[in-house]
Amino acid sequence: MNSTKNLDKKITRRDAIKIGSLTTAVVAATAIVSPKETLAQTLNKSVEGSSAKRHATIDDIYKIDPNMRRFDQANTAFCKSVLNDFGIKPLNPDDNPQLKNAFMNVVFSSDGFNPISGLENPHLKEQKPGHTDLDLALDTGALGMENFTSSAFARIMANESGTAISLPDGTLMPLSLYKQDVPLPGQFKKFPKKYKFETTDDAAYAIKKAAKLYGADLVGIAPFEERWVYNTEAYIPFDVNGQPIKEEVNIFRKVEFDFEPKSVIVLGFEMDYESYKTQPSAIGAAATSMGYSKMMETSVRLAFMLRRLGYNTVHAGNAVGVSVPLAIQAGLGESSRMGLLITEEFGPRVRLAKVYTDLDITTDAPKTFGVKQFCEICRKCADACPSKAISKAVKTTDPENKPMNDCNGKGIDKWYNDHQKCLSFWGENWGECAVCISVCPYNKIDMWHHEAARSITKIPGLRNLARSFDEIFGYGQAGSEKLMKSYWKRRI
Amino acid sequence: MFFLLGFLSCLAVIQILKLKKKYTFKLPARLLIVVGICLLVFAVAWTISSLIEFENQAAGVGMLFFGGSSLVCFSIATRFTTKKTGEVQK
Ligand code: SF4
Ligand code: SF4
Repeated sequence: MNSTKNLDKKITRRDAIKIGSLTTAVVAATAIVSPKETLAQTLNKSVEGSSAKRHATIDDIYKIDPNMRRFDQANTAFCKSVLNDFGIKPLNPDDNPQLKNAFMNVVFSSDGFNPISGLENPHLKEQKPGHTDLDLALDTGALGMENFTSSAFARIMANESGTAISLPDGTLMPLSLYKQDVPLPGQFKKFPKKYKFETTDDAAYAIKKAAKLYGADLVGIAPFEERWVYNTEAYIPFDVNGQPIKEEVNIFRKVEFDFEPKSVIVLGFEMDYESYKTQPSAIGAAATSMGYSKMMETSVRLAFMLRRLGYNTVHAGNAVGVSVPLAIQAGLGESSRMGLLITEEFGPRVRLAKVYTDLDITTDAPKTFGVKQFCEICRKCADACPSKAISKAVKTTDPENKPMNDCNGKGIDKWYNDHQKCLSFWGENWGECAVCISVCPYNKIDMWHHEAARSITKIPGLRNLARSFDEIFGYGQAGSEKLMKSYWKRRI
Repeated sequence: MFFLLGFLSCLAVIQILKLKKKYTFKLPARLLIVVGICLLVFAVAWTISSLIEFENQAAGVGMLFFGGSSLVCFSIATRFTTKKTGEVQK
């Protein structure tokens, strides 16, 4: 018997099931790559680890000379820029005036005038996009909080009593919250009785939970190691003109703890993505300044909490010791060509702070997710750097990759960059730069499609494509005046 | 956005089922259609996400690249598709 099927019949139940299951599959697939995580998931991730490969110590990832000399803080480019006349070996024999001006231009010249050099900010004068009064005001607002309560350089800038910092216009900043030995009212002093956590894991979980509440975006625990503490720290008090007070400068002060530190809590803070796209500009600098504020606020809060629990602390931003190796050891990310930490979450767009304590806390394991291998191919930061300060050597082991000057910590397997050249550009730019951070393909926000693109950097054969795709898709266009102009016009 | 994607994929499947009544899809055509739909959904998702973060170039290139690839899939699929001729004998 012949039967016929009507071609225009309605969709059958079978078809409906097919449609339903296909749609479910598609929705499930999109849900898998859904971008948002709850705080609990994020916390668990930091406690249990991500998909990255874990290592026992930082020495398993990078070759570090056991006889490595600890770094002197006075050798940081920033210190060098203000210490040119202070009997330490000047970095730049030709004495690039911009390097000398950098500190004042960047930190103290929101009005566009450097009282020491008598120079005026040319960008501000011509209201260049990214350097207009509105842009500089944005940075001043962001930096003000940090400057008036602390400054990451407070340990070098505070006067001996630790209660005030002199500004060029004669203003005295009231108190450095990074200063450890300032007299504190009752409840902020160390509690006489020690709180006992049942396990060191419990201590880690509590500290991480508190750090997140206090404002950290990332938190990890590293064991205390003397090799990452500055050999000497630079104490540089300033007079009312923003000039170091010669008689009081002590650039070889030993870093000492009045307790035996056991753990270092390393805190990471995301800097605003949209502002960073406009680098090198005062808009981008505002995001950095916000990062500095958060470093101070969160680290001091955590220190107060730990003291209330009866433990000793030393909290610091950029002072006391080097942050990047500590952050690597604390499992926050990997080192990169540009020398900064690259995190899985925000790429290099993070600031770091740390709290040294004698509380025993379970430490995190360092992790790798292919940054070094990708950096060997990428070199986008080196190509984009306006001062050509970043090494272009393919591998860290290439003979041309040698320490440039005293600013480089030596004895570590890493790319060596010329921080002096870098800071000279900051002086020229009358503000920070951070173009390298902005253009880095790892610098993306937490959205599903960036996760997908980032996974390409982990596949050996496809790494070459990752940088090209990044450029074709128009990411990381640092220095674009269009972006600087449009910043204020975009909806919130 | 994810609601829109679900809606779009559902629409695409209904359309395919409708076409199935008029055309016969060989195996390669079926595979290409599935890949094409996935690419199209991905292109839309990419474009919307890029526009949300003000990356207009990424949105445009994404649509061109992934959307274009999906069109290529669909057009190759037509080569493996034949028109049905009225009644089917059982
Ligand atoms: S901050 Fe600017 S000048 Fe310095 S290394 Fe990065 S890109 Fe180069
Ligand atoms: S821009 Fe490229 S080479 Fe530079 S740090 Fe980022 S990934 Fe590495």
